[in-house]
Amino acid sequence: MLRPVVLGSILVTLGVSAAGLILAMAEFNAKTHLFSWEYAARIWLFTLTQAGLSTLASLILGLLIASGIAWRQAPWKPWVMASLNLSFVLPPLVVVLILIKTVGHNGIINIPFSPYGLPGILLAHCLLNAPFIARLLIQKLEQIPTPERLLTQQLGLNPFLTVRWLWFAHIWPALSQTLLFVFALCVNSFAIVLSLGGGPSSTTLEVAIYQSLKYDFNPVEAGIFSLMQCLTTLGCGYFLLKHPGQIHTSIETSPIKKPSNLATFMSLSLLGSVWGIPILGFIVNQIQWLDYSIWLFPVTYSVGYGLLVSLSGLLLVIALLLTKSTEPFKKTGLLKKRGQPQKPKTQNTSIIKSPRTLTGLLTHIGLIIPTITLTTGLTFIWYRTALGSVSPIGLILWVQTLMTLPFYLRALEEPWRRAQTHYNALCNHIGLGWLQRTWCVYRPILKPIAKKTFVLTLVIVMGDIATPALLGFEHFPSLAVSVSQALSQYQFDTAYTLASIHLILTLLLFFLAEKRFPLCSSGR
Amino acid sequence: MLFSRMTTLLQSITKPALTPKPDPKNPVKTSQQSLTIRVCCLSIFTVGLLGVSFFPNSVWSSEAKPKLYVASYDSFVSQWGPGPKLKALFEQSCQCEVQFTTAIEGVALLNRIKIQQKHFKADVVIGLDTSLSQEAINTGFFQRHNLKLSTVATAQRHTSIAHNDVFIPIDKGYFSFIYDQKRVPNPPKSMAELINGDLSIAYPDPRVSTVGKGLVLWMNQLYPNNTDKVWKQLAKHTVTVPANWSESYALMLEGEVDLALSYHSSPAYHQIVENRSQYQAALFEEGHYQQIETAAMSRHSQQQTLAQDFLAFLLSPTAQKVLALNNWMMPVYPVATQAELDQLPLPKPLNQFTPEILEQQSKHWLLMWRSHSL
Repeated sequence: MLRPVVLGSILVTLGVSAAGLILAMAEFNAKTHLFSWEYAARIWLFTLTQAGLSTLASLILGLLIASGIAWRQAPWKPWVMASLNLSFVLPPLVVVLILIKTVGHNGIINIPFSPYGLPGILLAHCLLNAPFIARLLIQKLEQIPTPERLLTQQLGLNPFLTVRWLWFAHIWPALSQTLLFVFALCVNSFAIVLSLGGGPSSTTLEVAIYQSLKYDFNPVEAGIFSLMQCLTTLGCGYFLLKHPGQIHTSIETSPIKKPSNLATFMSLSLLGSVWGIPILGFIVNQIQWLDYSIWLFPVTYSVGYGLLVSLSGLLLVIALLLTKSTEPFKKTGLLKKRGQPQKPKTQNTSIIKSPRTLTGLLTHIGLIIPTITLTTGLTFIWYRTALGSVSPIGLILWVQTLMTLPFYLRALEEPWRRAQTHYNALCNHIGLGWLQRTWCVYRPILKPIAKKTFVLTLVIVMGDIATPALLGFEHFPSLAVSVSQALSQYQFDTAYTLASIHLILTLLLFFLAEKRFPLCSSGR
Repeated sequence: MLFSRMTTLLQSITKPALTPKPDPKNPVKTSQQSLTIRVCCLSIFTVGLLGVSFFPNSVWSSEAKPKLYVASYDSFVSQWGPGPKLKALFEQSCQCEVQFTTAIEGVALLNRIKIQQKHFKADVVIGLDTSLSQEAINTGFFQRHNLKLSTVATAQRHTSIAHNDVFIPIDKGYFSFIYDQKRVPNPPKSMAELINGDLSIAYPDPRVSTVGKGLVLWMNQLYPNNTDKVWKQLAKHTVTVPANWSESYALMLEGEVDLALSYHSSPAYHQIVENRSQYQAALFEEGHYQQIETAAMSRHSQQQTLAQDFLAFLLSPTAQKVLALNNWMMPVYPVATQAELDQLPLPKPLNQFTPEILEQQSKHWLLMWRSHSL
């Protein structure tokens, strides 16, 4: 019962969004004269160029980091490995401010170019994605058999040939998918491009959609850009589906043991030399702790709202998965295969799975349809009806809840399916209902990974500004939005204080996730 | 801490209030009933929170005083801007409550009106300038103010404002590039020098900011036949085009760019508030384009009288002084502000485009800017 309702709601949302886009395009087609295919082509080209260059630069930096850490056994290594995930959850707007404070005109480091435009976008994307790639590379490099490494040494291959013939032979299957994933992330990048680019010369499709609707008031253009954006991410999605490789995220299995307190200290010190100093410098210089009136409400609002969205997302995913757990034996295939040796289930740690199920398909829709595209159609419908006179906070909440679904589905679907395969027969035999088997059987299995994903989605929701940017900042006083608003209201001290608090909060939540749920995996 | 409290709260909800008595006949059923209660409680909790978030604020607050909704751009209603001070002053006399609605910049405000139309909740809109007035009238959102005050006539005479039966002028200024004398000892003396030079600049996006749009008008007034070439040349040393004036101006203050587009009156802020005289407006020999900010009332307003009173209040000497010393623009009604502002050197004024030309050409000019600023 729950599953059709949830799926229906999601499909209705997608339908309303598509209808909104079509309506907007139809209504304003005659009034608009600003669409230019030449401009669209240039933006599309810039989108692909910046994403390609960002991916390449992240790969090179990731290779450098990985080559220094792989195969080394040290107490700090587990925490360095864990901290490489940190970049995955840092709020983009905070990354931008750190970057400006670090390499800007008055920054700690002098660079020969401006941190704005394409160079700034590449730097910010590198900061976010290179550690992510490095983590995967370290894991893959350490799986290279020792005899092969010894052979390359005996043959006297230089570093370039070693990387070319040994490393790439082992890491390429996983790396190619990761690079494609990073490429898709860069294509969908919003806050970074908006803050460091923004002008016509440095605009991506994602930002152009926002600008078309909010700046140019050109729904036709926004609709066409949305379609172009969907096609671009669809292309990425197609390749990801065609070769479902192994893309590790922070919630995936790690062979690393739980670190000790000493290891924590040492690894954090090491990390400090990489980007801890800029982060710490940023916090110490900018924060105005005493003036709590600046940050108390945005922090409370962000945390409360983030908890609500994450909880809603979790409940929705459980509702989606629930029906499957109560399927009769014949559907699970257990009766048919009873007595036959069960084929061992390989642990699939991929975040991209083949869409054999409706939930799998939903995961892909979540990946392929950018949030800004989804919100564009909804915004138009919302503001053109009587709903427009009330606060759109509920709509923002719903869109962000949908945004969390792919994360939960990726994390929970596979272990849920395995638990179901293992325990459904027993549950059916002793007559456990769906609710009781969820609580007593699946909950203990899924609890650690659900908690960690909960924290991850909480951090991501707290850093999101794309959805409220379209629906109106004034209705949504979260931390990320408050930073953005303070910047646009000439209140830079407030902006930096809020950004510092946001950063501290993110670090605390990340620490909580890594410390409390360090070894969660989809397989446990 | 909050996370653990939330967890505790959730645990307390999901735990049964009373331990159910074991049913020897059907232990599974009893346990399942208690679980059902827990999950129902959890669902009610979540649905309740969702429901609360959907309700507008007005449901929870009492409405003793009539409310006047005023829409403006972000920096106008910010803590340091004129908005809060005007609100406090007006509320003293009106027995009402002024509530602000904001958009990132003036053009964005108009776009919002176009999308929402009659659903846009504003009795008064402040911050559309004269370059947007015809476009704003075409939305059908605004109505005549019907004010018969001498202050309105004086202000209109001072600004030669068109559509004077709908919009009233509230402040004015000349677009100028501001620089730091310590960093730029030899500022450009003409627009041509700026365009062909190599000093780095920043200006707000013309599609969303009235300041940025002012530059488009300025360029088209100065170079009507080769604006495309001018934009291409300017793009070579334009560092970035942020969404709003505030971010663009901050780039100059932080040394990221040499000059930022603002108003000729902006240095007065640094002199009066910060006691710093290093920031100056570059005065160009070709002349400067003028901006006149306006206010108007909505056709759909539920508080017509209050809206009219507010418009009249904006032209009072008190409000004009607040606008001058907080929005850092020149007053439209002759009123003494402060020496630093009153004695600012006035740039050479350029001819203003008529509303008809603006209506016909604005989109084309913006398209040209967008196409040639790549």
